[in-house]
Amino acid sequence: MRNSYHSKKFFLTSIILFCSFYLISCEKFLEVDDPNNQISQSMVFKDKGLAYAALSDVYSNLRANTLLNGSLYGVGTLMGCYTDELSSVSNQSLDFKSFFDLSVQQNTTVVNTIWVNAYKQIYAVNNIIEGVGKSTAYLDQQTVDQVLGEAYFLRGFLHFYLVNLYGDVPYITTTDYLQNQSVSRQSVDNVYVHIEEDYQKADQYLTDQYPTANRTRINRSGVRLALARLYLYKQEWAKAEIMADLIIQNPLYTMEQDISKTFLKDSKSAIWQFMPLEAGVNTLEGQYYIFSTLPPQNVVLSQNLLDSFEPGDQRKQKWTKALSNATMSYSYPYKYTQNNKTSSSLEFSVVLRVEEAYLISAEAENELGNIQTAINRLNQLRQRVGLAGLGSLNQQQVRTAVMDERRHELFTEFGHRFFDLKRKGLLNTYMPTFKSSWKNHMSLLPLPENELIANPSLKPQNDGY
Amino acid sequence: MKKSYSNIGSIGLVLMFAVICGNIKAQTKTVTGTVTVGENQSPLSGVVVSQEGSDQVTLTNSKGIYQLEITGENPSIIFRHPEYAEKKIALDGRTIVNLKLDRKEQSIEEVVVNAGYYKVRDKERTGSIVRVSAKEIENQPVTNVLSSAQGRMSGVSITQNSGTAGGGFDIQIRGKNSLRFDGNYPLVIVDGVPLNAQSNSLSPLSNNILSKGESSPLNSINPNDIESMEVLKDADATAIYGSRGANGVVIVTTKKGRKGKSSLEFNAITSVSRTNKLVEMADTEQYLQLRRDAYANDGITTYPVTAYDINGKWDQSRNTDWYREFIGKTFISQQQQLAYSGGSENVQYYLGLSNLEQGSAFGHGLKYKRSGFNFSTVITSPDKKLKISPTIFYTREHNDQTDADLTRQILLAPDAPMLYQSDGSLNWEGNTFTNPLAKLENKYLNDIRSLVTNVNASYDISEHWALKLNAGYTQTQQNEARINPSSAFNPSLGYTSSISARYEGLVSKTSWIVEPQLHWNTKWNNHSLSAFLGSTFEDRKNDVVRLQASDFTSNEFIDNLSNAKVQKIIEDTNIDYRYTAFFGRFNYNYSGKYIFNLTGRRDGSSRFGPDKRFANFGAVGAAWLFSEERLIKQNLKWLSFGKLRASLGTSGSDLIGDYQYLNTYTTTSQAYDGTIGIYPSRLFNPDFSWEKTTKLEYALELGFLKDRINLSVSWFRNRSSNQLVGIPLPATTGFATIQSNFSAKVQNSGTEADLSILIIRGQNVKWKMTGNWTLPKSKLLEYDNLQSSSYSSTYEVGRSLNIKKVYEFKGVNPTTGLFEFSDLNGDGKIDSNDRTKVVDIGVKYFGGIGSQVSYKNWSLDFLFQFVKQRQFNLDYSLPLLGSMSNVPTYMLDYWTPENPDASFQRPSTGSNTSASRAFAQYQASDAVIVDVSFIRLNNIQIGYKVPLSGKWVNDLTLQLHAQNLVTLTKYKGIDPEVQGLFLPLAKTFAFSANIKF
Repeated sequence: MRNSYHSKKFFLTSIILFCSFYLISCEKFLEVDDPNNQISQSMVFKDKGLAYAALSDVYSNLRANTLLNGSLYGVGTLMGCYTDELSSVSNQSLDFKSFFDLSVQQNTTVVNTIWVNAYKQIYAVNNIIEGVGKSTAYLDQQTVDQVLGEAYFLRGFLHFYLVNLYGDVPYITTTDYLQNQSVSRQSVDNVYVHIEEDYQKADQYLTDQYPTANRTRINRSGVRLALARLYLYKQEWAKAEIMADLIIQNPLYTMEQDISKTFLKDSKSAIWQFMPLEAGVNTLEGQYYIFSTLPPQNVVLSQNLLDSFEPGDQRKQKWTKALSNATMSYSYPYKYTQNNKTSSSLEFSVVLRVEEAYLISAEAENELGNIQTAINRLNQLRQRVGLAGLGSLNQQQVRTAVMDERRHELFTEFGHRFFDLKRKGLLNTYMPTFKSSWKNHMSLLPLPENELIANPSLKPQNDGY
Repeated sequence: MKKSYSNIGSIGLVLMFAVICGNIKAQTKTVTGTVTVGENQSPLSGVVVSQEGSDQVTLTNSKGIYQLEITGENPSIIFRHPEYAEKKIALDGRTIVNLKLDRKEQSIEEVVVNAGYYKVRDKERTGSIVRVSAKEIENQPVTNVLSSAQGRMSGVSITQNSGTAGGGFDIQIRGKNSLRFDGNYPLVIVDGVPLNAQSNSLSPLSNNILSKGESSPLNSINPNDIESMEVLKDADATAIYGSRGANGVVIVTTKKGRKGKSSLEFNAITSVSRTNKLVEMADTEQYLQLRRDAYANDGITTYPVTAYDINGKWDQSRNTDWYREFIGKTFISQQQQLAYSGGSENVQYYLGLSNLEQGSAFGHGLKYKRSGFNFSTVITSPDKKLKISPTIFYTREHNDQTDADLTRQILLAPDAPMLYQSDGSLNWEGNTFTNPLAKLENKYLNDIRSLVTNVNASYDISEHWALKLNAGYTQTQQNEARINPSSAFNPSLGYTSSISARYEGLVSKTSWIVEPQLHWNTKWNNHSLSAFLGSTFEDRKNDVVRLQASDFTSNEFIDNLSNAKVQKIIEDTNIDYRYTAFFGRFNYNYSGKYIFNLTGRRDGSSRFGPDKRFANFGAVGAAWLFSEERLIKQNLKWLSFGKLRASLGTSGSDLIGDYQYLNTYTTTSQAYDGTIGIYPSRLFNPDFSWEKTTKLEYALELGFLKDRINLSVSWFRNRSSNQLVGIPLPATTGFATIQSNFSAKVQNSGTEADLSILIIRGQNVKWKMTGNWTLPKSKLLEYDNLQSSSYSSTYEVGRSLNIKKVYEFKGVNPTTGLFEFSDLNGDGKIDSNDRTKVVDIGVKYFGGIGSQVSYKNWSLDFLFQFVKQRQFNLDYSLPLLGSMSNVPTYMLDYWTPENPDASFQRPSTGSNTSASRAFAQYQASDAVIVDVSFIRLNNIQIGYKVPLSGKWVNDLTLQLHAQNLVTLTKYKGIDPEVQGLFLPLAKTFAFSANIKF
């Protein structure tokens, strides 16, 4: 009896022991190593190198995937086609052709990708701002300032393009998806307020020192040029003028007198440029704009733009190039002259350059009533491209002169032409004379259909779509 | 100590001696006799005659005569033949045994179903399991067993993604249980080893050529090596697979050797295929008229310089049927298989060798090749207590395809220039023509080596207890490559090998599984109890390395990565997945009448966060064989079988990808400013957990007239309220989705029926017909705050999950000539707020009807598959009507002032905004969701068994097959099964010969 009781007890104990051992070993068994290609977020911002790596990916994406990319799917080509800079010669139904045809729809792919890729990088930037904010104890002050400064600037800069393309857009400043998934649109004015705040923070955090050898990261002057542009768009002329002058006065930046050097990677006029993917690679602009066979396949410079250059303008001679045969002749933008790899990279895609500061300064001075100062600024630009200085003009004439100068200086660079026509209120008077199918609602792109579906708070769609 | 060893040794020696002596002393006798069949007592050759419990085996000769050496006291002799019922005769001292064998009668009782961890007699199963056997799937000119199983199983919807060899299949068992596209893969188990259900292919490399970028892992198994394929559907059957059973379980059992004389079987199939053509494209005259109208409508009088099709650059007298040119190539496929099998009482073996080569409808020497071998043995100890059966499967697949599916090229203008110049080189027509054949220079190569090994062992401890072990190891090595040489471009662009690129993906997947089990059973009087406990330990490792090489010295070196100036590792990922479970099943059977079943499983998966790793699953099932009741047995003589069964339980899914619970950054391979970037991997949600589906099923199974007619009807309902979904998010969150448990309550229900009728059961003539039918339904039962969620325009409470919200199409406005839509919100304009009409899309019901007729040596089998469904039509995938892209002829009924009542709007080249807009809305309207139902004669085959003396060749069967011979459909597109612009399925004629030595 006693014996059997004992053996029973023994049996039970061993079963319990076995089971608990079994369960513990199961728990243990499921512990797997972290994947070798991932690293915990909390680790990233405790390490200077990793914090910069997170930022570095944002720049890579800005260059290759966002609206700032120089391919046929960046704002340069798309808005160039949309307005009067480029003509689509494709016989395929490609997105830039629908921009050229003014048949952009809410389901046009690139309308969606521009939006999605911009907000994706905004998330990445917000994550950096939050991550660095939590880890200030682990990083030195210089790194914190540098990373935060660049991050705040990039957040503002991306929103700046979004607001000018789509009108009212959400301004995203957090990584919290619960908040971001039902966010609504903010008025253009509000978005501008946020952009200004972010630029000002960046202005405080950054210096004119570039962290690396090339001018491939944003510095304080870049931020100030963006600020000048923002004030220009907001018609705060005095502020625009101050910011622009700060850059003009900065000895780091001078206009290249030989304009064929403007887009070389060591150009003195560049403030911020994209470093190419790898050594030997040049710009996407060069790769996509330049054609070597006729007939061309994608886009060509519009005859309208070519005809608008004053005789002797070196910008036409050096920044455009024609390819002809017996039956046809087409021109392409030739600011970037390399469409293939070279032994080492020669050209970087320039996002911000000092010439824009002269243009902003001229426009702002003119609006402030300093017409002669404005003319002087314009003449500084004109003189280097072999054009005679402008004589005495009235304020309205200078306005026109500034617009012409901007058109010929900044063509096919990140959609300047479209934004200029738009902020000047000229789109709906000028565009119909150029493209008869232009409608007033086209000053805004439609919001991507998928986004309206995924977040009904973004409704209503922009008028006309 | 030493002494005792030597003692053991000497005991062993004595024992061995005794055994040998026993053998010597054993009495040998010879038994002879004749085996016959039929009324006229015709002799039967090839009958395997053996002594029970001994290795002695012989065969009857052509006169039916055998002679067998026997030993021992009163042994029994067993007579076996594949087509006749096995007989066992006790000798009782006789030395001459003449015997008449009867034909096998395939009735419901004989079928034993493999339910994974246990086998069950079909008659006594409580769960819902369908089965196809070797007889139905072997010797068909297909590469994947899923092709031949199509239309044969109720509740199992199999769709081939595209006609490209080596591509993927969609298997849905009882509908889409998950809203996630990849959450619907069933668990596939081959001889006890789970296969990776997901595609092996890396979509960045394969998505141009393979639809959805997928390749089916079952491609690696030669269909002819498969003995049976079972599909487990309901809770009772799937709960034993716990977390991985929600989408059903596919159990593949490969062929094993059988007792008897060894036989050598050779099988060869040669087939000729050509794609089906269901759509007629416009000819040059029609097309040019369309283009002229388009320009006229847009007010463009001077044709643009790049409009070569119409501005005179291209010869407008040309008229090419690009469908035939690009995807209509006749191609030849071949497969050969050699199988050697046999065995004695204690050892059986099966060795299979196979080889297959399939051409491509694109022509140009593209092909898919597969060769492999498999070897399995079953070893039983002399006392029959220990049984070990190892299996090895090794397959090598090589797919040599072009990088892009040429199917899209059928939209080329019919007056486009010829593809080749007279000297045989590609024609670029003065740089006006992007020659599609240049794309053939872009290659997609895939080389997959898969090894599946496993060992099943069992040991009977006592009459009631048995230990079992299932262990397996799999390894898949895949080398996938996409090659983009400069030669794929127009030579006048002057591109050199500096732009040539090669992308490689090296995938290595290894997994092992160990499943120890303890089985128990007992019987007393009419009660029978059985139970087992088991556990699973599984580990999977996936290593992915993606390489990019570009800028080669010469294109000749494009296969050599080291020749590239730019060499990059774009991805290097190691993923580890671990899975463990503890499971058990309890089964009670009362005199074969009342059966009760209880199943439970506790699962842990490394795919969840540390606190969410374990979950419990379980099911109950019961069956009542009412035909065994005396009352029914006596009064309803025509009812030979009747069973009611029901089951209720849960199963789940952890198919959500690995490491989704981690909050991490992932490394890229791209540097900026000298630093390699890292990016946030995902939106972080540590709280997601197991999804569970509750499954309920009732079924009635009936057999009439001695089981000549069998009918089974089942009704099922699957409900889940915590599905794991990548919930779509707006881009403002930075990501497209977040991994989360979906709070909505989703229901999948349906009715399935299987019917088989043995119409004629004569000595010479036999005719059997089978049919199955499935009616699936899905419904969103509850979803709080649907309107404010990202699903607001995808789903609606109370409606099916297969809905689309679209514009309501009104037709073509006779005055403007544009498509018109209803202003559903009445605000006076048509915009996305009017996209609110709800239409159903997807499968309504599907099934198959098969027939098997045999007359003497002849046989005729066929299988029809039918699917009633609504899907997108071809218009959905086409560019704007009027652009430089050909259209199907039905689209030529477009609006012109002379044809105001047209079904399509006036063509436009794209410069008319309202026309583009109306066309885009048309593609998002109910007009493009149409009836894509079809009936397809999947397979028809005529076989003839050549009568032979049996001296050298025992069996020779010749067969003629046709696959996809007839497709009846109203659908005017590429293929009702493969939708969109992907390669359609081919019509195949094949000849096969099967020889047994």
